[in-house]
Amino acid sequence: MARLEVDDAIMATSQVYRPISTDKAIVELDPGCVWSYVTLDDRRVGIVFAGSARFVVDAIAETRAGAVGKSESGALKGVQLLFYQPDIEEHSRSAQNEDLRRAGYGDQAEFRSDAQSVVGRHDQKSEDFEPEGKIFLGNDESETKIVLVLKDEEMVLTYGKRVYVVSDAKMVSVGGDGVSVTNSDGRNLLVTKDGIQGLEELENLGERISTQVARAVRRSMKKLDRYASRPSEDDDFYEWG
Amino acid sequence: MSDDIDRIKEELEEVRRLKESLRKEVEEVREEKERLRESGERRRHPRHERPPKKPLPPKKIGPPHPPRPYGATINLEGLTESLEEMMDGLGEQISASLKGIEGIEANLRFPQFKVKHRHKKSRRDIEKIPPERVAEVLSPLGSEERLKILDFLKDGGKSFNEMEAHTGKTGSSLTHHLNPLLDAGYIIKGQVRGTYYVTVVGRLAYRLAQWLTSRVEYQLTNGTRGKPEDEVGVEFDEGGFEDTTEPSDATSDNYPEEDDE
Repeated sequence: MARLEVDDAIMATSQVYRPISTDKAIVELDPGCVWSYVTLDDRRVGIVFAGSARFVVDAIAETRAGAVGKSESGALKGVQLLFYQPDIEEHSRSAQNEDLRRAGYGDQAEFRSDAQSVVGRHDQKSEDFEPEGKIFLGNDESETKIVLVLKDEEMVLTYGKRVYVVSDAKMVSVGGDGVSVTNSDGRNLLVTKDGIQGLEELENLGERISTQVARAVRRSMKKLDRYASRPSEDDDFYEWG
Repeated sequence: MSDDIDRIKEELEEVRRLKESLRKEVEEVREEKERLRESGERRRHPRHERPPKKPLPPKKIGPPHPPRPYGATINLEGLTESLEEMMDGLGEQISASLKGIEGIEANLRFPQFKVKHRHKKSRRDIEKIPPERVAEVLSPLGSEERLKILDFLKDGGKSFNEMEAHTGKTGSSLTHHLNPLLDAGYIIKGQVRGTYYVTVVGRLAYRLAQWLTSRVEYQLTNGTRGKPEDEVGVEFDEGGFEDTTEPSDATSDNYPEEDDE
């Protein structure tokens, strides 16, 4: 087991800083947020922070039939973990007692201990752990867990009991009302406890196939009838393979 | 399952036989045509009276001759009908085959689910919708600015500034129009960049508003053509509603069945 460690140096942000800022998600730290690097085998793999911060995520997919989804946002509370190496150090200074007190800690050791207890839950099986994209694991002020994964244009958000997967104008969301799958055409399939909505067309699939095939054959035959009865010098038309 | 496969095989065999029969008929027609051509040649130009050949004058290029009527006609009616009959039953055969597969539980197991209907209302249900509910749905659309916003957003999410530039409304004046659309769920606002998007419901509402406009304008222009008032324009059935007027701007959704005739 490869153990994740909180670095000894405790820093504090000196200005508003956004370790995540994309078209779909923002995580924003106010000045005075205390933070430290997270290391795996002395290799920095992310940061852990606490203090006044917030998040906003657009779990919205723009399909050809319109947009689906919603925005989720809230204030963060407690220790937050980010597997990603932002340039936060350039916007920080050494943490002061005032910073730690505002974040809810008596001293650096208390913060480090709390941070280590959170970081330790995510010890890795291998020292080769290299997070793909940006992975944020946090809690909001109502203790709702947040898992946010961002990679290129793809995003996964778990917020409480809701899960959103957004990719290329498609979305899968899971919530109290069931599992909703929406494709880029805006067609939607909703799987609920009471059944599946959105499969109505399958009910008369046989009839539809019959109609379409019969229509195609009818057209072909009409065409054939016309060719067969027309005066023609070209008998090759009738040469069937 | 095997019965279904046998049946399909038999039908394929039937198609092959029909094709073979057609091929023979075509062959017969060709031979008949050849015979007619040869006998016509002999009647017009008996071999012993054939005049000596003269040099051909330069060919004049004129308008194309109309096609000569030709006596032989292949009647494909029987073939057409039999194929149509066969194809009409194809869907039922596929359904039956799938049911047959379901029986092989050792290899295949279909998930147990039921298909739940949505958006299906009977005529009675639709006609019972009270005016206040209709107003709730339609009132957010009751302004040219809001309709412009919906139309603008159909090409993708837009910022507040872009909408200001497009509508000519600024600040609170634009917000005044955005709020009813947000409240109705016709648009949503992404909080990350403050981008506004039209929702699936919003696009549907806007399209139906366009459709309504088209129907009303058509009726105003063309009248009811002697139909009683309650038969005009829209007919309801158990599956929803159906447009029965002639389309003034037909789309692929309401074209009649395409026919090559």
